[in-house]
Amino acid sequence: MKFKYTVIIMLAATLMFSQCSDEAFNDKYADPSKVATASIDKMMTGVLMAGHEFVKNSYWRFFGYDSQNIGPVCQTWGSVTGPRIYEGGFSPYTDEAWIKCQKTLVQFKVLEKLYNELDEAKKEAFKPYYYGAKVFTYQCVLQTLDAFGDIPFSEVGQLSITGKVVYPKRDDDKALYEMIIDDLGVIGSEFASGNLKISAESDFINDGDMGKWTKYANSIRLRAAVRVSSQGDLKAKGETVIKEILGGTGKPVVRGTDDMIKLIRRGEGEFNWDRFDGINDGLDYGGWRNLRAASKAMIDRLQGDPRLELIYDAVHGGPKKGQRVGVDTHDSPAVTEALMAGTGVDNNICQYSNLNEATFVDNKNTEGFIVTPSEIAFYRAEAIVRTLVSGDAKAEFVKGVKESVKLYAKMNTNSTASDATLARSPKVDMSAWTDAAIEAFASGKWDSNSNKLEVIYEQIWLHFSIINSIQSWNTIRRTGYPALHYPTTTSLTCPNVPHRFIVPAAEWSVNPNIDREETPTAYYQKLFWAK
Amino acid sequence: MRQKFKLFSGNMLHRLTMTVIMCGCSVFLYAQGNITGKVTDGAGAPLTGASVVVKGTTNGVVTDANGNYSITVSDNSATLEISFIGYLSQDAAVGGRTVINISLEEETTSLGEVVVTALGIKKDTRKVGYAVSTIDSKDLVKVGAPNFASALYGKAAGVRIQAAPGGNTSAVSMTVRGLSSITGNNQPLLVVDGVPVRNGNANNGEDENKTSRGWDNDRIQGNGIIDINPEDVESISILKGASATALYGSEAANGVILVTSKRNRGQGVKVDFNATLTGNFVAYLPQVQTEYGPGAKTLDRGAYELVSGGFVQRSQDGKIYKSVYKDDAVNFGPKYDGSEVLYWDGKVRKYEAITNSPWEDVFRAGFNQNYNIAIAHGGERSNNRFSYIYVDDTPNQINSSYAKHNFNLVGNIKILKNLNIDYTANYIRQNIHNRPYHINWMLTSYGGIAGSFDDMALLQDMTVTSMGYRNVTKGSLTLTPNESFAYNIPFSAAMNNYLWPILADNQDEINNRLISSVAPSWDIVEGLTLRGRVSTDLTSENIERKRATVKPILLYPTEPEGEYDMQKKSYEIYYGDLMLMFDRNLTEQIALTANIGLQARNESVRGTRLRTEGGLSTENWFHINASRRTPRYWQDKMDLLKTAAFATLGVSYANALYLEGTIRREKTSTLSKGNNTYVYPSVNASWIYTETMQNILPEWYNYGKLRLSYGVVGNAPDAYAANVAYDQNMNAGFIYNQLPSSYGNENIRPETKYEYELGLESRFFKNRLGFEVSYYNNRIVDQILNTSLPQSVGATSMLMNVGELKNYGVELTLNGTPIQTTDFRWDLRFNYAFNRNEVVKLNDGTDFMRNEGPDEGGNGMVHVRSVVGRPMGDIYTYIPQTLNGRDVVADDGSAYIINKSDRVCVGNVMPDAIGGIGSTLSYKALALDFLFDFRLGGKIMSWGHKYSMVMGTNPESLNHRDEAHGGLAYYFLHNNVTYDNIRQAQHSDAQGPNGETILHDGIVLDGVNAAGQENTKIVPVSSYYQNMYQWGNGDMRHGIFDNSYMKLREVSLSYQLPASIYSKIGCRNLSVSVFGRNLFYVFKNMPMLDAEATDGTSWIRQSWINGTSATTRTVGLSLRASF
Repeated sequence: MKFKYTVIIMLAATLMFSQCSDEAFNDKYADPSKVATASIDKMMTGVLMAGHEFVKNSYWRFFGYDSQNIGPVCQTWGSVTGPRIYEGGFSPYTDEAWIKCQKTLVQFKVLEKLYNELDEAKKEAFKPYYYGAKVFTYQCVLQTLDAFGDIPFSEVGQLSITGKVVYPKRDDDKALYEMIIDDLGVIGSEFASGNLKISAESDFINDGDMGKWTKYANSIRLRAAVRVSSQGDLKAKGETVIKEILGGTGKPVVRGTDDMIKLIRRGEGEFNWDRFDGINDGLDYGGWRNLRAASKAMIDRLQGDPRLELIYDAVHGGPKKGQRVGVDTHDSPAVTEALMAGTGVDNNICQYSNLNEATFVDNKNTEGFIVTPSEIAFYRAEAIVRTLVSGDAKAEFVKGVKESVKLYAKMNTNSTASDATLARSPKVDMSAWTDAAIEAFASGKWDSNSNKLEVIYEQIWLHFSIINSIQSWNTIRRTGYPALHYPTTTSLTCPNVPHRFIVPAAEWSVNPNIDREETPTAYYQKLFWAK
Repeated sequence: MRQKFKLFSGNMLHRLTMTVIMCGCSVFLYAQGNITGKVTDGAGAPLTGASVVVKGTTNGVVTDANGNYSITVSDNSATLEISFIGYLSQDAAVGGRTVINISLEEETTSLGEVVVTALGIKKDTRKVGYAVSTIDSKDLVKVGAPNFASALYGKAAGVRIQAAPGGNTSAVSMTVRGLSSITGNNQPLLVVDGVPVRNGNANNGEDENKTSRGWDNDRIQGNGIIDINPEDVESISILKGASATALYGSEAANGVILVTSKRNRGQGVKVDFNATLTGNFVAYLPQVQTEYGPGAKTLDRGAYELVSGGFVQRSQDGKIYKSVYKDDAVNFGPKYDGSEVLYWDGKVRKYEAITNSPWEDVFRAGFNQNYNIAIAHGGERSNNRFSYIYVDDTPNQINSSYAKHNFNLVGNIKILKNLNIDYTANYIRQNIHNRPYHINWMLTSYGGIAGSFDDMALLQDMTVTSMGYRNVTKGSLTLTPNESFAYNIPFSAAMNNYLWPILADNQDEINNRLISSVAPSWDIVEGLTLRGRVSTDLTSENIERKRATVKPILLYPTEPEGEYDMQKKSYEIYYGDLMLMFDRNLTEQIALTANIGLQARNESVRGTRLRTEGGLSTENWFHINASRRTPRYWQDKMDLLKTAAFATLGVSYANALYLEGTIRREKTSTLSKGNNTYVYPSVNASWIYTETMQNILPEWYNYGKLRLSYGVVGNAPDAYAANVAYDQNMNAGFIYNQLPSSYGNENIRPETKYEYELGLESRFFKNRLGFEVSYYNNRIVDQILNTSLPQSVGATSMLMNVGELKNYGVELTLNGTPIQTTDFRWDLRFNYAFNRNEVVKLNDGTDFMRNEGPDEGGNGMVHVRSVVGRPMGDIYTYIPQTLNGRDVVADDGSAYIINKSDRVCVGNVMPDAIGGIGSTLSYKALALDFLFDFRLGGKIMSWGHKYSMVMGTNPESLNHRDEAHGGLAYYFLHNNVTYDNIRQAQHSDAQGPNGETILHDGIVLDGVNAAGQENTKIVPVSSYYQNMYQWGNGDMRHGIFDNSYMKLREVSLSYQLPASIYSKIGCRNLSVSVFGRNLFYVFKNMPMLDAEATDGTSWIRQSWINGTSATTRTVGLSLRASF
């Protein structure tokens, strides 16, 4: 009897402890929600995902980086002219720009490591994904170089590659520009060969269209070349590449609406601009008005322009009701603050125009533009005026303006905000703006100024103003146009308009190989390509 | 061996035969002899329900209400066994007597004679060479605490309890001897009847139940410890030091809480009934000033408001009305004057204070009912206690309810003389409807801090329209335009994010938990026992979240909102151990105990969650099929395996000297292969010097023990934390891999704690005075820190064994009975503990670690650091710039210039000392019991207080508002409202030189300007509040307070009714009591809120208050009856 119990106990115990083999321990060690090996194609999508907020109207871009950091320094957004106007409302938005770029770069470095470990046959098969990830990464890197100057690049991501903690130093931005321009040249040619294929399954930018990938690589290369071509050590290189891409038979670049490079829209997940809608929720019209206010510099240059109404609402009450008013940087902080806060019987109505609610704020159908035909047309017009290539500069200019108008008009027309749900701004009636009318308007612009470059630069600045404001800032810094009034402030760190942003604390506070930049001198170090 | 089996078998047969014969005998030999008597306690009071059994038989009776019994015995040689719960059993040989009166000795007077130690091994306290705090059952149930953990406040030296507000369903955090980990788990291991069960952390911001609305998890979660019902607990042992807990290895660094369930003692049938009714009333809520109503800060006033004193004008139906509020909820408007103003409901009402506590309208009085019936039966071969507990609670939060059923069976069966099986089964079922919602939107959101003119009751009524949608402001699209707000309500955030979800949304949870164990033990030969144990702790959770449709689909087809979310989760622990125990006297003086054993535990989590995406396609249809877009899903999967082999060896000499060593070798699946085996040794010794020096010490020195121990324990990383692998996710159909931003570490080791401890225990004057003091000193090396890295390195953080901590401290417990007469007794209990913590080392090259900080915008105006050479938890913030020791005032005079170049330490969040003072006064059948607990030192951050200054609702914000509150008079030149135009005036001036309005809310900040001259600039005080108390800016010290307090935690008055009243109904014992919990603070340094208004179980989350639920004050009534 007792023996039976003993046997039962012993059996139970044996059973219990026999489950504890080495194998059982090892099986349970690995996180079941994670995958032990990553594939190159899925890593490419991972790279695109890591950096996709650079190219979409994300919360960070719209209510942070663009409106608070970049907008005030290139006056594409109206801001109270207070002492911190050039420092940005909250510095972490510049932190995020830096970090998002590094994050994209890290994922790319992991992809590159995995790619380099492949055998030759697999390398060949995955090459387009490697290249695709590279093009996208370079584009994010370029945007970050333009904001900060030197950034860590070559030593980035060593933890995931070697398992060791290596604090990367900053790499020289000029060297990076040069490398990127060269690399994109190689990739553009390989893409154009027609031998490479990226699956639409992995590709939320070009949907597997290799023609568009070719144009993407070439257009970004052109953007970089134009940037460095005005002055500085890479001027000659920039000019050569412009000629290579736009001269003679040239290279395929984005020319029409159909080959525009932008994020795919799928109405769900990250490709549904739900977060955008979330911002609007609970904040009645007029909330966060300082992040939506118009700039006078913009409004002045949009007179008679169909984009004026598409971009800005009229002031909806108070003494300036019905007008389109932007922040005048000549005004004192007190005046701009008072106008921002507004006046009126029922509530304080902001006396500045706000961004058109249908086009931007209450619109889930905004787009994540990467390369638009307007940009290329303006570069082409510039190259012709600068006699780098031959062609009809005016025709290119008119095309640029027309494409820009159509782009803003489409966002407004396609807005998910119905007139009924909009608090104040109805959709804009564009029926009078036929193609011919827009062309006539653009021709007038071209003809009215003998300084053709100024006209072009002003339009680049206007075109990018809200959809990708860093390109507007780049244009001002490269060309000096449009010439704007910048007030001097009482800020101790950044009293005048800066030439670049400083390295965020998120990096220098934890990376011993990157110095904290002393302000304000660092703010005023001109980038090598700047005027 | 063979022979032995035979012998045992024969023995068994014999025993069986005897039983049969005896049963027969008891029939045939009826009325051989009758014995009567009375059973009393040590003070002579009758004990009702004591069991009197003829030893070795099933013949037994229980005493009546007067303690009397009458029993028939078969022969004179019989022995009576008298037992009663809470008292030491006694045997009395009949020896021809017919009257046998017995006085039972209370177990507590010899408290701790036997303690439960690691692995459920019961030990004579004398043998224990380390500190163990024991809390008896009756100290857990006096004041109807919802769970045993929250009944431990102030009762054990060095044990800090922090119960999250919200009642039955909110987590309780316990910390033992300070903290052992900077970022890891600090909760003790919970062991019920020898079995490790689920406890865990909650409300630390990383919960998976994170929901999209709000800043954090919106509802207050619970943890495993709160499921254990105090009514079923017989005693709690708290093992504190590393030597005490070493047998639990890598889970023991934070101490171990051993819970022993109530068992039946004695024979016969006993029934206990208990009903406890408690009322919970919200308490310690923010009070608001009632002198000034809503309106803009002076500097934000337009021309009209300046002249009107802060009123604004609004139009309604073509008429212009005087009104209040500007565009936010700021309360710097005009003084209440009883004039008529247009309110946001579109009606005109008198401008006067509506309330001084707007929160009160948001909560209701809570009512908790707790019924418990326990049936115990003792027989010769089996002892069982079954109890059923039913809890029904009406929480303080409106629209929520709670019910709990708890079935508990504890017993044993003696299969053979030397083969016994213990078993327990505890089944808990909870129905939770709408857990308490965080109130951060009302406490720390500018869009939700209500003032005295904010009619919360009205807002509550208007939040949900008659058609069931969320209300809107006039002009917005709605199906019920007549119900809309006349103008934008100033606290829309509170409505959208607090009132709407608690009124319209529903969350239903059904939790089932079964904790069960079977433990056979076999006494192989005398002194040698084999014991096995198999146990399970199974939890299954079903959660449904139903977010109501916010807007009519008819009007808002693309954004209907609403959500359905369902979650099923199981958490299973399977545990088994096997132990061979040897306990024998080798000689008369020397005794030996030795144990060897094996242990294994398998934990697994399986969970699925489905959620609609993009709103509900059909209004308020709560099913996954209602999803407008592809529903989202999550999977939760975790497996963990831990095995260990252990051995202990103890030697004693002359009942005075004891020495014990233990060793445990452990293997875990959470660490990588080749790196997953660790050894944890310990040693302890005690010397009962009163035994050795009997002749030297005075007679009144009853007991004295010196103890010394040393041990090594660990704190293992979470499952999968070490594993390095790729994330794979899908977004809108695109599948992608990424390297996670937090990197694991294949070489990670458990944090290891080395601790030594020294203790002295003494009792004097027949145990009427006693004390226990312990000193401990520990070092915790290999702290696992999720070390921050710049993103450029490859990940934003990585697990590293880089830190080192040190703690030392003293725990003191005093017990005394200053007065003891037949009728009156006064007991006193006091405990006090302090712990000093020091961060010894962090990652190489870093001298501080930035811990998570409260949401403070910008680049983190304030954060908590663990600094090398300092206790963890230093608060760092920017403070004003100084010049010659004076604060520097900004040019416009409205603020101090904050020096943002360096943060300075403005305090530390660790308490200096904690403790409790308790006392019982009993007179005859009446007993008054109370307990204070205290915390000394340690800061807490409470931004609600600070923000309410910016909002002008804080009573302190009245300072300088007018002449009576110390304000200065001034005017704006030409009524042009800018700092530059401020000119000094006299309060008596009717107007300025150009007819300007005279204002009386001026302040001149004490300080100097940048040039070092005395500041003389007058500014409106609201500007100063705006600049110095605001979110993400200003002087953060305005929101940082010393969190010392002493609270009257428990008080109860109980009365044992005279037996004459109830004896006729067969009742043996009947007592009633009234009690209170959290009644008041003796002192508290933090203003506005409860000192314990935090809900996280992590120390860092306990360092700031960011809007948990309301805290409460409780009063109750309890009735206990035994049959």
